[in-house]
Amino acid sequence: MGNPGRSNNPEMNRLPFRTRSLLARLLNVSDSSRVAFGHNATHMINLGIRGLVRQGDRIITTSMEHNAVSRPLRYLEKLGIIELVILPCSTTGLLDSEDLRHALKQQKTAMVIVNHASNVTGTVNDLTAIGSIVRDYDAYFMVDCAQTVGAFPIDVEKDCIDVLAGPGHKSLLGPTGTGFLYVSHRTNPEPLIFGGTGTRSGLDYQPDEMPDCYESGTQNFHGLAGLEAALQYIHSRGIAAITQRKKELCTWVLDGFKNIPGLILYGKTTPENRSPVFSVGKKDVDIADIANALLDDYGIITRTGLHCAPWAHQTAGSYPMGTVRLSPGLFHTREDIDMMIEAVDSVFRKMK
Amino acid sequence: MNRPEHVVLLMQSVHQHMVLEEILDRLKIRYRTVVKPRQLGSDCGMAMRIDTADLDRIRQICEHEKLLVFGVFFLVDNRWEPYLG
Repeated sequence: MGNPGRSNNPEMNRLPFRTRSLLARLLNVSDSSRVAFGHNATHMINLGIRGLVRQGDRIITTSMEHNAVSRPLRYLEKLGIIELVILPCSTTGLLDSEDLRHALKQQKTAMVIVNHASNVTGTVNDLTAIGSIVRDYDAYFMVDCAQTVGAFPIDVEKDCIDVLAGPGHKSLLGPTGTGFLYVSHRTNPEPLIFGGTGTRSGLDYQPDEMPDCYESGTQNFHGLAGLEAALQYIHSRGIAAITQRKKELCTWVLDGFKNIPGLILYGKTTPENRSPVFSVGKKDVDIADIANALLDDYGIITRTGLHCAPWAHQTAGSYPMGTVRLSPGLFHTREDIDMMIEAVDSVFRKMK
Repeated sequence: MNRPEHVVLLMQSVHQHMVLEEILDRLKIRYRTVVKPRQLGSDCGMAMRIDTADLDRIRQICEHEKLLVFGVFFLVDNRWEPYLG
C-alpha cells in the first residue's frame, strides 16, 4: 500500500472515503464527513465522552453499560468534572423511558449515554423513543452501538442521535482494530489525539474540519479496506434481512434452551428486540467448568466472566460470578444451532 | 491573455475533494487528482486538475453540493497564479 496515508497515492484518500460513505449510508448520515475512524469502539466512545463533557456537566447513563462507557464516566466523576446519574434498568436490561424522562426533568443534563443493546443480555433498547425524550430536554444523545451496528437498523436522524460509536469487527463483519464515531452537526467534540492529519500541515493547530480533526496519525488502512468489503456485503444482503436472521437465531436458541434442566438464562426469553448473545449459568456450578467442557468436548468457544460489564451483571443478577456467553453469528446455520443446543444440554446435565 | 487549457482546483478539505471526485466520476467530467503544487501551500494535500472549459459547471456543482472551493489557479511562466476567468 506504499507509505500509508501520507504518500502521493490518492487511493489512500479514496479508500477511507469509500468506507466512510458506505457506513454513512447504513446509518442514514447525510454528510459522510461526520463519520470518523479510529482504533475500536472504546477509543471512539472515549473521544465522544472526553471531547464533549465540560466542568459541571450532569451526565445520565444506565446500569447496563460496558466498561468502555462506565470507566471514562467514573474517571470524570472522580476528578469532580461531572455529576453522574446511573439509571437502573430491568433485570433483562431494558431502560424504562419514563425513568429517563423523570431524571431529565429533575435537572439540566448535558448528555445521555446508553447502549443500543447489552453485551450481557442482548436486550435492544428503543433508540427512537429514548432519542426523542432526550431531544425534548435539549441534551446530547450518545449511543454505544457495539452490539448492534450492522445487525439492527440505526437511523441517526430518526433516533435523534448526536454521537454514535461502534466497532468495525462485530456485526459490521470487518477486521479488528477498526472503530468509528459519528457526530451530528449539533456537536463538535474536542479531539482526543492531536497531530498530523495530512492536511493543513503548515498550521500549528489541529484543523477544524471533519473528519480530519479526529484522525491524526497513520490510519489502519488495511483494516478500512476489510471494513469496506464487509460493508459492501452488508448492503448487498440488506439490514432488514440480517435483522430477521438474528431474530431466527434468537428463536432457535431460546426454544432449545427452554428444555435444558438447570439452565439459567439472563435476559429476555423472547426473540423480539433481542440480539443473539446468550448469557447462561447453573446454580452452584463454576462457569469455567461449563466453558471448558463446551470447548474440550464440542469445540464451542464461549466467553466467561463479567464481559467487561460488571454493572450489567449486577443488574441481571449474575454478579460477581458472571456467566458463560454464547454468541452465534450471522453465518451460523440451523444445524449449527441444533448442535450447540445439544452440546449445552449434555454439558448441563453432567454438571452437578 | 489566452484562456489556459487547464486550471487547478483546491478544495477546503480532502473529504470535499473526494466528494467532488465521486460526482465528477458520475457525471463523466474529466479531472486528474494531482499533488498540490508547493507554491500553493505547504500542505501534504492534493489538488484537482480540470479542463478550464469545465470550470463553470464544476463551480455550479460545488455550490449546489455545498463544497467549498479554496482557490483556482493556473500555471503561467512556471508560476501559479489565481485564475479569475
